[in-house]
Amino acid sequence: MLTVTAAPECNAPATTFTFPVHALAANTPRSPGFRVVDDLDSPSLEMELQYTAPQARGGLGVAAEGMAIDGGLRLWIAAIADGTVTTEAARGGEIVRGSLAGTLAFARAGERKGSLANCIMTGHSFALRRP
Amino acid sequence: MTRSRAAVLGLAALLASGSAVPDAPPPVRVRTSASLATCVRSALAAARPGSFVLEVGDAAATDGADVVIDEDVLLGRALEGGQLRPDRVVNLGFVSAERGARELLIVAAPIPGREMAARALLDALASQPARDAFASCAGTRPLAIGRPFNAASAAQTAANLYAQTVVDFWTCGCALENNSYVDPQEALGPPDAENLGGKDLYRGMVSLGQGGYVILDMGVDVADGRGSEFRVYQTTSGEPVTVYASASPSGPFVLLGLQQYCGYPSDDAFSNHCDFDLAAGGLASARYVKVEDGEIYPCLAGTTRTEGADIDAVQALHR
Repeated sequence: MLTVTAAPECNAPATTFTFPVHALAANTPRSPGFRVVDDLDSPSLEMELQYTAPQARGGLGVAAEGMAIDGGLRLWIAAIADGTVTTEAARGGEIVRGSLAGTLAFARAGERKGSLANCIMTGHSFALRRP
Repeated sequence: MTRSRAAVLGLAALLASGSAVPDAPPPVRVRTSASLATCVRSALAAARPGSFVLEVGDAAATDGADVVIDEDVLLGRALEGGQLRPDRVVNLGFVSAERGARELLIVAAPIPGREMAARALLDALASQPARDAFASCAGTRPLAIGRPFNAASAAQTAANLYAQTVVDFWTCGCALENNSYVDPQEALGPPDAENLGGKDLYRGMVSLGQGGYVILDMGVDVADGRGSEFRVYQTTSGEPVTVYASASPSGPFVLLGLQQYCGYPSDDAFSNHCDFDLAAGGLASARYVKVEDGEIYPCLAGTTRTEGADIDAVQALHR
């Protein structure tokens, strides 16, 4: 599960958003890495991380039309995720709390991106945990 | 037969043939968003282009228009995706009076057989009277016409003002597979990127991909002074970048600007640019600059070979 939490100063219409996701290895010649997507066939949320143990860092973004969230709202994310991977034998690797620096934008369905709030800041956070 | 009678018969014959009276060319279709329509009308009135119709709607959707006018950030994906021509971009002015306000772009769409008409309208809107009329209507400062791009003069600029060495570069595996421009060495030296005439056809830049970054060595310490210290040249539209600086190649890197719009037109380069101040990070000096993609568009959903911010060069504005 990927949980995204808006920074307190964002004045977002909602604070915390959770998405079921899949995580896959995505190494490059430069370094190990992994990819997190909401849908294996047609992802609209994607996180691509460079993994330099124990640190993971990379971009978390959603497609141009944003993601539907509760309350008939849409959410856009374009941010750099940075967190420490912790491993417990029973649960595997997780990021319990990482920083998220960049944009969280909100709009009602059919309105322009950011019409409710457009928060470009360093104080957002995320977690990547097994259900 | 009188001359007038002959003329009437001649006209009737021409009409009957259906071919001798040329059809007037259809008007150029100009599309802009509702919030901009009033001031775009003012600019068009001052520009005195040929025949046109102004349509109001979501400009980024283009919808068959010959020319679209909207904020740079809203047209970025249409530009990168080929629905608009990156080599047919004109800046009309600033969207608001705020410092660092985003710019308004006028862009032609690649509609076969309509290029000349679209180009003529672009040229008319690029005139100073059109820019002044837009600024007067919008209450913003007018955008001055820049000097034409001169690659030779750019290359003659002192090379040691630009990034000297690549320290590190990372882009995700998906971007390595799908992007065409993944050589970080392209970020060194003076700005030299250019569009070669169509979607995805560029030279002289590195595309960072989703959340990718490049760390560059400027060669010497750059001290904080008056105004900004670093200029990032970014090639396609106004894709945002995040910039950090450090005294050491391994960091720690201090944030200078988060997802800053990077689309201000450059007088002496094809690429646009954005500036960063060491004071924003509380640094007295720095030698290493980390430029990170601020667009962060999902790589697997990408439709271009240039996903992520496209870095042409990094310049030290003073030493």
